[in-house]
Order: sequence, then structure tokens, then C-alpha cells
Amino acid sequence: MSINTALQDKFDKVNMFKTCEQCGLCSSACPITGKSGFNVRRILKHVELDLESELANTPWAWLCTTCGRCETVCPNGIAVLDIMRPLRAQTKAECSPPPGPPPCVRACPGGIDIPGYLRLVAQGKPQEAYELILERVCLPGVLGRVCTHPCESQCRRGDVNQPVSICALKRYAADHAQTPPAIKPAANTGHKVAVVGSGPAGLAAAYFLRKKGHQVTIFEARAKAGGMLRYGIPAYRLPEEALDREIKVLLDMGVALETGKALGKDFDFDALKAQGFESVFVALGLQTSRRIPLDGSDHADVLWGLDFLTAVREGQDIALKDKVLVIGGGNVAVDVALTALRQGASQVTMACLEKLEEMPANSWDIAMAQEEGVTLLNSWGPQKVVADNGQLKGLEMVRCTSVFNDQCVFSPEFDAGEQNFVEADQIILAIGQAADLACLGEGDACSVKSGLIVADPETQATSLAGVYAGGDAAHGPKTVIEAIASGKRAASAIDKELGGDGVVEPQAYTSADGVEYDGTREKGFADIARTALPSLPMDERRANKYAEVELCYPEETALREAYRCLQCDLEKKLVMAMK
Amino acid sequence: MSEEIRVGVFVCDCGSNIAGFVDVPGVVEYAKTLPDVAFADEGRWSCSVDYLSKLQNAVKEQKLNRVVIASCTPRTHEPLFKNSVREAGLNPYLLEFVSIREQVSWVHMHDREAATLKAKEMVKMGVAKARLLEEGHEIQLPVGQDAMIIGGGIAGMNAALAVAKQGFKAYLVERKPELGGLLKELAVISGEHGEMTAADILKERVSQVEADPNVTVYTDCVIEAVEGYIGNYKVKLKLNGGSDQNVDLNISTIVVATGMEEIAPEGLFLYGEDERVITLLQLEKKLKENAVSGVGDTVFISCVNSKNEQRGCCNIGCHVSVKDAVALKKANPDSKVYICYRDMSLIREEHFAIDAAKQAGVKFLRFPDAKYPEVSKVDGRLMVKVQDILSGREFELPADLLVLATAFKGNETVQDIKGQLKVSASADGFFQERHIKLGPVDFAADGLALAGCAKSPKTFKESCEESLAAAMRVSIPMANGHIEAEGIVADIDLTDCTKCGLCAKKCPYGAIRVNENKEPAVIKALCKGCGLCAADCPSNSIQIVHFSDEQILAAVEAALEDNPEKKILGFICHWCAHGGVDMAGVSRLQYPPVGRMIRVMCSARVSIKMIERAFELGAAGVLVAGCEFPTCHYISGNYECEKRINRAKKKLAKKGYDVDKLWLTWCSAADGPKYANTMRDMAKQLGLS
Repeated sequence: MSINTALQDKFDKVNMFKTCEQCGLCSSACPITGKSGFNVRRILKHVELDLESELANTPWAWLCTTCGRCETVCPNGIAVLDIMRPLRAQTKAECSPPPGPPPCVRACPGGIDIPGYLRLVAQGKPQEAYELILERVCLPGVLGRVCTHPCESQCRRGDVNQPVSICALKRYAADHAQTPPAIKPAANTGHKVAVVGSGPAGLAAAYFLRKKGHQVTIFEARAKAGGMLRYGIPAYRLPEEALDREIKVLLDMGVALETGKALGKDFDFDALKAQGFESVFVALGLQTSRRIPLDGSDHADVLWGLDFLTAVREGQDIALKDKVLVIGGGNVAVDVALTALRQGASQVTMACLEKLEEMPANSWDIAMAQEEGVTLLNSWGPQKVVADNGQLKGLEMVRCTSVFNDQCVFSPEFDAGEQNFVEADQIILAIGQAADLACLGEGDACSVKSGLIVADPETQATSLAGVYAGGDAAHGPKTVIEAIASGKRAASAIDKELGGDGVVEPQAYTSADGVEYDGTREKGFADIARTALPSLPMDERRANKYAEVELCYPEETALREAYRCLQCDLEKKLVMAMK
Repeated sequence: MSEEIRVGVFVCDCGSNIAGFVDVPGVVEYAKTLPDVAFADEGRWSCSVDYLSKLQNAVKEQKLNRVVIASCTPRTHEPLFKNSVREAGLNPYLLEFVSIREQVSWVHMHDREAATLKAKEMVKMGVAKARLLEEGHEIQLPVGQDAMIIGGGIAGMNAALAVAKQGFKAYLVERKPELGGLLKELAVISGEHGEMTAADILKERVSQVEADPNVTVYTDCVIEAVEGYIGNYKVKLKLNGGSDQNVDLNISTIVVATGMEEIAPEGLFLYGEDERVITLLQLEKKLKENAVSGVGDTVFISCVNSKNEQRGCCNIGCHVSVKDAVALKKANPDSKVYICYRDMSLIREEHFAIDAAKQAGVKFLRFPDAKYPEVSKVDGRLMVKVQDILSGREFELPADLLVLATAFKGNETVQDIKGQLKVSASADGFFQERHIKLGPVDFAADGLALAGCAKSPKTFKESCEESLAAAMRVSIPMANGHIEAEGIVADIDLTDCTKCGLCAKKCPYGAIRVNENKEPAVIKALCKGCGLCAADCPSNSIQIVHFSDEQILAAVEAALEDNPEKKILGFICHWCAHGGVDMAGVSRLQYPPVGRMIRVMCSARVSIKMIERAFELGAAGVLVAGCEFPTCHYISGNYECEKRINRAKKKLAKKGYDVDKLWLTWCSAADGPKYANTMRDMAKQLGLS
């Protein structure tokens, strides 16, 4: 029970803790008391008993969310947070959070300065927020619509009530930025880099390489740039204008785009080399539907998910029949089901192997499908497509008892005794995607494993010198933000190879510098609830099929939502100043 | 009385409290059919001024000479109605009170028919008794102007001064050679206006006492004997520590302020084995003598021997511990001072002591009720192992001094005084007040008051307040020159008396004296009307005003006239059991409507004859309910009742009755659930529900 006198001095400024009566109102109000051994009342008691040095060996002080609810309810007006912060300052390193940015930023594959841009949004500065986001990723407006936002599940505000709506606020910043930012690339380096594929990985690599002053040309096989963003994700989720606006940012920086140029058909690596390209970044994506052997699947009314989505985005006239059965439980399957409704199907059913809670699709997207009238059939595996006289009748299915084995490896098991027949006029199989790597050529082509290009996880380098690969074709089906992150890694490695420093983004998070913050929590701050994103009313979705479903926050709501951020970066700064 | 009996029955709606669950007009119509009922009426709020005047008019116009009130409970409203009939010119002892709210409408809310039937029958029982009621009279006794105050502590000195300042004589009796009592052992008294040393307070108060011409102080003296009653106490004192010098006092009233002492915690926490383990009072003494410099680390343990099954909170341990801990910390700033407590029980301004203690650096550890600290010796040093539930961890505290806040007991003189004054005391030797709210500084007997730590552990301030209250209570009859005593008393008819002397022997108040011819006589001033003598009198020669055998048996017979096999006849004592019955009603505890209760002043009033009569008439069961042990409003009535019930069981068994149908329960005035459960259990076991 040693008395840490230096710390005691700090507490003497908040001597109020001595009036603590251990009534427990604080811990009753505290959103995290009871979790991981945290108990705010108990922490105050430890301080009263001069046991700060013991608290230094626990993670408790840092578990506090600093929401301030305890201070609001304390009948004696004890400044609990002013006690908690010095405790944080003296907590041993092994019990403190890792150095660097807060949990949301660490969770973001793109490392976006989340508290930084939320602060700017809250201050009514969407333009500055947008520019801050662009420091570390391209396409903020796209991410703000389609990102799976792993940041939000790590957001400490989630411990208080609900996480900050980080993703939607990114879109708010992008949509409300007044002028498209003119990003000035560094002085021309004279080096030429080719990027094959204009999906998010390719665009990101081009963006960061161009920023470093390299001459970048994107080769795109299709008519327009965007890859899966344009040809895979339905327009009601990501409207064309939003994508075009952000691709234009790249083009304005001087990135060259050559569409209708396919690798392996219109050019090969040798040709690029001959044209003076010193490095190549290959981001082909997973362009085709993965197929499984299924009895009867050669029927004309059996379609394949991604092919279907692409055909719709390309504007092909695809009219669906009445009853459509979609097989698959991923995000693509959900997109297929919702697109099927928009293409004239009157009754759409989704069947998948997984239980509802196991489905890989985003929970909010599943909810949207249910809202629009899609029927879910969980724990069923397709067995046989049934047709009569050439007329598709439906699908025979068998009960799936488990999808993953003990090692969490995909290994479905079925109960042959339980079968089901679902009537359908058409069946769309959306059970995965695959890359078409024939374009890489033979012989000296870079090495391929399990249908994916082998790339170094740090540098994205392939087995072929000067050739880098990223995006889904390299790491398998992942998210837009993962693709952008791989493009950024590749850009850094390529820059280094070309003699640059490889620094494609700011090395430190500096948005907190110079921000005045004393940690005072406004009364009621902790109780502000997350505002749900407005969405297009159902009748308007029916009338205007590909109108964007999710809408942007109005200004007032956005500012309030951004204000909910606990500003973990500033809290940490406050504590560092006490050390 | 040969006049025509004219009973008036007044049934109250109590708004919807009764009328909502009982068919009151039906009860009124039924009452009109009962013998001698001349008038019956329904009142919306019978206790309202309007209705009381209507009642008084009815008494006059209808020439009513008995009144039955069927409404709430006699425990709250009997005095009001008694007064009303008195104002209407009727003797108040001719009023009978029937409780159809607490005993009917509030406890049988889901069976209107059964509730109405029970209300009707209870009115019938009331009317049956009322027809036999006789006039009673309060007794007037002369009271002089001299009081004895037993105990020369702060409460006794204050009481003596307060009595003397009104011009009355005060005899202050102290067994020790000096005045002061507990105050002599204390260091500092703290209060809202800061601190004062106990010695300064004592000096000032003793000089006031000694200077007052109306106060006579006897120190170093023993009370040999006290005899008599209010207005007529004869006291024998032995002076000089009980030597041959005697003083006889004739006084009118007595204040008991005998104080308290610590219960030595022998065998606990090494007390008695190690001299570094002391009690709070021993610490006070050290503080008073300035013998605490150099005392090292100190640990206090609260609630030693208190807050357990034997006794409750000691009332002063927490505040004194906190105050003394600060004093120790101030005397030795480098030493550590811990208070290990169960509950920190501080009231009003005492609470600021906690803040002061925390500022001074005293540490507070709260141990669980079931896990007191453990004390051991490690390398010669005391070691206190304590679990703190607030920080959620265990501490091992080395200590140079261990202070135990132990429980208290009444002063050693209590046993003698209890016998001399014929008053009751708790197992811990604290005197019992007449009523916790309605008579907080009175004894059950008139002319006796109590103050300070003689009642329970008190703070200095509380003792001062109570001593003034007690002085005022004994001064009222002294100022009036007389008192009026309740007319519910025993009356002995010597016609059949066998002069066995049992009544005189049994009376807990010594209110029955036998003369040289062995004839007993009641000293009405001493009699409290419990009825113990009447119930035990072998020749039925004793009657109790308002609770005669004849009256009670009439109620028993009325209750059991119809369907006796479906009913439980009960006798409930006025003070505790009736309180429990009322509490069950107030709490709306629902129980089967099979009981028919008869109020008696004490369970000791219930004679074997009454119980037997109920069984003779075919009652499904009989319940006798009295005060919870060890309390009894009449000192020992419940113990006597228990003995008698055991005798009754043997007698009933011989006559062929099933003694399992005779139930006995002891129920505190707050224990509504106990009463309700008793009724449920009885009804179930007797096959009535």
C-alpha cells in the first residue's frame, strides 16, 4: 500500500473523491461496470485506500469509455473522469492499449483517421473531413456506401450505447464536400507504372502511385472503369454518379485510363515492358461465378449470380419469371435476390446452407432483403434441379445439419432423411466467385494457388519480377476496403522499387494536434443514441427500381451523430500529457 | 341497572374501504334484527365531525344507552368515539368497538359474501357484549410535588434540574460517590456547534445541580425498597455505600435514568488475552487521559456483539468510532487508522464526521455481515485480516491497538430496580417504554418515566432530550395535583372468595393486597387491567371492567351460534396481537374469512373456561394470540398465558376435545404476515379452506 505521492498531488486537485459514499450510483449508471472486472465504484474505493499502485497493474482505467455518465449521476459531484485519467497515466504498459491510434483506426484496413474526420464533420467541415479521409484511402463516397465498416464493431462508443455511425458519416463528408478536391501529385518521377484492372484495388494503387509522382496508366478490359463496383454491386446500393465522381478525382490527378484493353488479349506483360512500364500492378478481381456440379443445373432457367448481376449492370434486358429461388447466403446472394425483385420476379426466396446467424452476408443487408419481401430458407443444401418437359419446376433440397467442422473449415454435413422441394420458375446460384486467370498467359506467368495469384502479404509482389498483384484475385473474396488497402500496399512497394521512399500516406496521425480538449463531458452526452440512416420508402423503391435505397444523413443529424464520438485519440493525448 | 337496554349500531363505510367489499346496508339491516338494537345506521365517514354529531344526536334522540361502532380499529379510533359518546352524555365504557375494516374488508377483498357475513357476525358479537356492558369510571388519585430521579448521569441531572425549575422537589439518587455517570469516562462530546470536553460539561452541570435549592442529591447510596404507586411512593435509601444510615422518602413520581455499560467482548478478537485489544469506552478513557500519544497503527472493529440475532444496532458505536479514529490520527499523524465496519450508521450531522475522518486519512473497510475480521498475533504484533466488500479484496492490517465497538447492556442495578418498580426490561437489561411511539419515555405504570441510556444506548444529545421529556412527563401529574387512571381494572367480589391469595401472588403490579383476614383488595391506582387475576381465580370472584367473563362469553356464544364448525374463535391481546391483525389489514394480506376475534387487554385474560366454552359450542378451532416474547405490555402476561394454555390442553384432552385445535401464537404489533399466515395455516389444518 505505497502512496504514490506524485499521483496523490494530482488527485488533490480533485479531492472531491473523498466525499464518495460508495453509494454505487456511478456503477449502476456505468455502461461497462461488470464487464472484464471493471467497476467504477470499486476503482474509487481503491483510490480512497491509496491503492493506485495496484490499479496500475490492471487494465481497468483504460477500460473506462470516458462517457461521463458516472459524473452525471454522482450525488456528490465527484469528477470521476479526472480521477480516471491520472490512473490511466500510471497504468503499466502491458495493461494499457497499444501505442498508436484508437481501436476504430486499428480495425480499419485502410487506417483512416476516423476520430479526425468525425471531429471535422461535427464541426460542420465536411470538405476538410473528406480531404482528411483521402489522405489514406481513395473513393470515400464509395466506402461510405458499401464498406462493411469493421471500425464500428471496435468503436468504444458501442460499449456506451451504440457505435458511432462511422461509415455513413464518411458518405456524408463525401456527399457534402463542396468542391472535388484537387490533389496535387508530387513532381513527376519519370517512372511509368501500369495498373491492370480498375476495381477498388487497381484504383487505389493508381491513386497512391500518382500521388507519388509516377506516370500511371490503368488498363481496363470493360467499357468503363470501376470493376466490381460498377459491374457487381447493384446500382440501388452504389449509384453510378457516386462512383464516377470519385474516379474523376483520379483522372483529374493525371491518371491515364485505357478502357477496352484486356490483359492476355490486347496486351501482355512483355508488351507493357516494351511500352516503358517499369512495374505492373495486377488487380483482376473475381469476375466469374463459381460453379458447382448440380444435377440439372444446365437448364436454361438456371442462372449464375455474378453473371446475372453483371448482365443487369451492363444494361442487358433480363426479364425474370415469377418465382425465383436464389441459392447462397453471402452478400452477392442478397444482391442477387434484391436485384431479382427489381427485374420483375414477384416472389423471391433465398436458400442457403447456413443458419440465419451464420450467414456470411452483412446482417443489415439480410434485414433489408427481408424488409423488401425476400423469404429466407436456412440450413438447406441444393440437391437436384427438377424440370418437367423442359419446364423448370423447382429445386430438391436436403437439410444441412452443420456448415463448418470443429476447425471452422467449410465442411457441410447433411441429413439425407430430411428433404424439401421448393417450387421455382428460375434458379439463380450465387455460391461464390472465381478469378479468370487465363489472361496471365502461360510459362513465365506468376505463380497461382487455389485459383488465386500468389502475392506477398506485405508488398503484394508476385513471383514475377516487377509484377504486383492485389484485390480479390490475390487475396480471395474480401471487401472494398481490403482491396483498397492491398492497392495501397502495392503502391508503397512499387514506389520503393522505383527509388522512392515508399511513404504513400502520412506516417503519423496529427489531426488531434492543436485541438483544444479538456475532457469535459456535456450532461446527457452518454445518452445520445445512434441515429438510424434514412432510407428510401418502400413504394419509392418499387417505383424507381435502381434509386439508391440508403440515403444520406441530413446536416443536423450528421453533426449530432459525429458529436457522439468519444474522441479516444484526444483522451489519450490528455493522458500522455500527465505522464 | 334495570333500565331498558337500547343499543345503537353505527356501521361505517370508510368511503369505499369497507363499503367496497362489504354490503354495509345489509349489515345495518341485519343489526336492526338483533336483540335490544334500537337504532342502526350507515355512516360514510363515521369519524368525520359531521357524522360524530349525527351519532351524538342519535344517542340523545333515540335514548341509546349502549353504542356499537363497527368501523376501523380500536387501536386508533376508540378514544375518539369514546369521547363522542361521553359528550353525548353516555358513559364511555358503554361503547363497544367492532373492527370490520382491518379484520374484514381489507383482508377478504375477493369474497364479498363471506366478508359481509363475517361483518354481520362481528356486529352480532359486539351487540351481545354491549348489552352486558356496565359503566366504568376513571380513577382520580392525588399526586404531590416531589420526584425521585434514579441515576446521576447527564440524563438524571438534567431531569432533576428540569423538575426542580418548575418548583417541584427533586431527589437525585446516585449509587457512586460522585455525580456524572458515563460522562465521567468520556473525552470529548461533539455536536453541531463543535466539540466540548466531557469534563467541562460535567463541571457546569454538577455545579447547577448543587446550586439548585430544589434538588437534593444523595450519592454513594443504595435503594433499599420502593413501595406504592403514583402519588404515594415510599422509598428507603441506604447512604454511605449501604451502611446503616437510612433515609426514607415519600415521593409522587420517579424518573429512571440508570444508564448502561459495555458488554465485555470476552473471548472475541483476543479481548481479555491481549491488553492491546480494548473497547471503545476504554479508548475514550485513554483519550480523556491524553494517553494516546505514541499509539501506533490502530484498527477499529464495529458491531461487536451487536446487529445479530440477540440485539440490534448499538446506536452509538459508529459515530464514536469515527470521532475517536480522527482523534487518534490527529494525535499520531504517521500512524495508520482503519475502521472495519459492517454498516456505517450515522445520522444527521454525525455524517460530517465521515468527511472529516477521510480528510484526516482514516481508512474505511466494509466487511460482510457473515465474515467478521480475524485477529491473530504475528511475531508479537496484532494482525487483523479483513475482507473489504467495497474494493472487493482482502487486507492484512498490522495493528498496535485494536478497538472493539461492542454492544451495551443496562446498568447492573437494573434487576433490583425492575423488581422494586415492577416494570419490565429486555434481556439486555434495558427498561421498556410503554409504547415506542405513544409513550416513548413512559413506563406502563403511571408516574414512572425513563430517560437516556437506561432505555437503550443513546448519544449525549439524545440523553439530554429524553431527560427533559421524562421530566415533563412526571411533572404533568405533579402540576395537576392528581391523575386520572383508566377504569379498566379488576374488581373482587368477596362472596365466593376462598382467600387463597393466588390473585395477590400473581398480580405483576402488586396491585392486589391481602389484609390480615387474608381478604384480597385491589389498589386501583396500581391495577393495569390485564385480567390475569380474573382468569386464574379459582372461584370466579374477580371481574375486569369492560372485559367481564359474562361479556366475553356472550361474544363467544354470539360468534358460534351459527355454523360453529366452520369458524375459528380467537382471543387477541390489545397491544401486540391486535397490532399484528391491524397490520395484516393495512397490508391487505388476504386470509380465509373463518376467524371471529375477541379483543382482550392481555392474552393472560383468557381463562380456560372461555376456551372450553368455545369447544363446547363446537368451534372448529380456538386461537389465542399475545405479545411476542420477551415483551409483554403487562410484564409477564404472555408467559402466564402460555402456562395456562398448557394446563388447558390437559384439561381439554381429558374432556375428549382435540387439543390440536387449540392454537397459540405470539405476534408483534408489526407482524401482519405472521397473523395472516397463522390464519391460513389454521384454516388449512382444520380443513376450513
